[in-house]
Amino acid sequence: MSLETFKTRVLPVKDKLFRYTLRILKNEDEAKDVVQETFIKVWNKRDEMHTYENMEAWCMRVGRNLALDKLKSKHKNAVDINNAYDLQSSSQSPYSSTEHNDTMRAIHQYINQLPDLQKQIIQLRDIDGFSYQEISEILKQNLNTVKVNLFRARKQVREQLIQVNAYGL
Amino acid sequence: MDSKRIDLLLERYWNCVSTQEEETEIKAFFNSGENIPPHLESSAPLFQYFNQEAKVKMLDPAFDNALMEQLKNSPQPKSKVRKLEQAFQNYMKVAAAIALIIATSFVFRMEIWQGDKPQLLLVEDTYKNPEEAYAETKRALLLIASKMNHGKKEVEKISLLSKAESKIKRSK
Repeated sequence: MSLETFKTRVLPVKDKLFRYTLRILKNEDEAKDVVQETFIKVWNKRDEMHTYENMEAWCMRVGRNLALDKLKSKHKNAVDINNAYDLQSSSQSPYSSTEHNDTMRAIHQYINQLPDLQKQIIQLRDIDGFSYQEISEILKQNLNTVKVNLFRARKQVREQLIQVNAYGL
Repeated sequence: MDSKRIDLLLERYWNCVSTQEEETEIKAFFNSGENIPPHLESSAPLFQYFNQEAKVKMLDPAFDNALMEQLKNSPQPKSKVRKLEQAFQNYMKVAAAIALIIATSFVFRMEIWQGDKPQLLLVEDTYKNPEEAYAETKRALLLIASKMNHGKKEVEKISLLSKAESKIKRSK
């Protein structure tokens, strides 16, 4: 595979990979490093690429393993969730923007508080738009586990949203 | 968009039976700026969050350029021939280790088989004359006894110290 083909076929997954590893590591610099390491690893295995049916899912799996290794090596269990959410664009009025950001930050926190598997599944499905089959390949879990965990994750987030709507943040 | 349609799609979404297309439709509705019916207001922020997350968390072109430069300069991956050579070398290492274990155990078992004839540990006498040996043993034991007595005297001095200490304590 040439570098040009790599750029058009593999590199476009970078943003999904970044968001996913960021969800695991909760640190932008570390997530960037993992994305870079993932691409280097994938590039070094370019001779085997034709054996993988779904290139995107394969990259995500490599990235996931590297992110989990990094997490394990750093014992990063405690993280500041509030610092992890960073909104860079807003075209609304300052007041509504703050209110909106608060809501977004709260949702970010609800998702980050979910069990690891549920958190990763909701990220892959609802933000990055992967199919159930792809999620099952990335996480090495069967389809039923993926669906059950997604159901629980959505239910949990929905309940919190209803609560917030009824009683405020 | 028809509110009933969104209700239906949302129901499917919460039950995890919606398709990717239906989920895209829900996201599009909540991010379109259309008036959201009051009963759907609690769900709206979630889909706005999903949309925003996908737009905001992105890597810049500088990342691409740096990565491409790095990949351009990275060494060629090992060829299949080289990999086969390595695999062969690894197999040879394992085979050599197994051969060594077999050879060692073979030699060890041979030793055991030969062990039918008891091999006594022979210690050569140091003295030919028993009287001379007895005298030498006696001398050695006396030397040990004298050294031990000397040590005992030193210990007695320590007990004197502890007696003195107890006397001082009593006088206080």
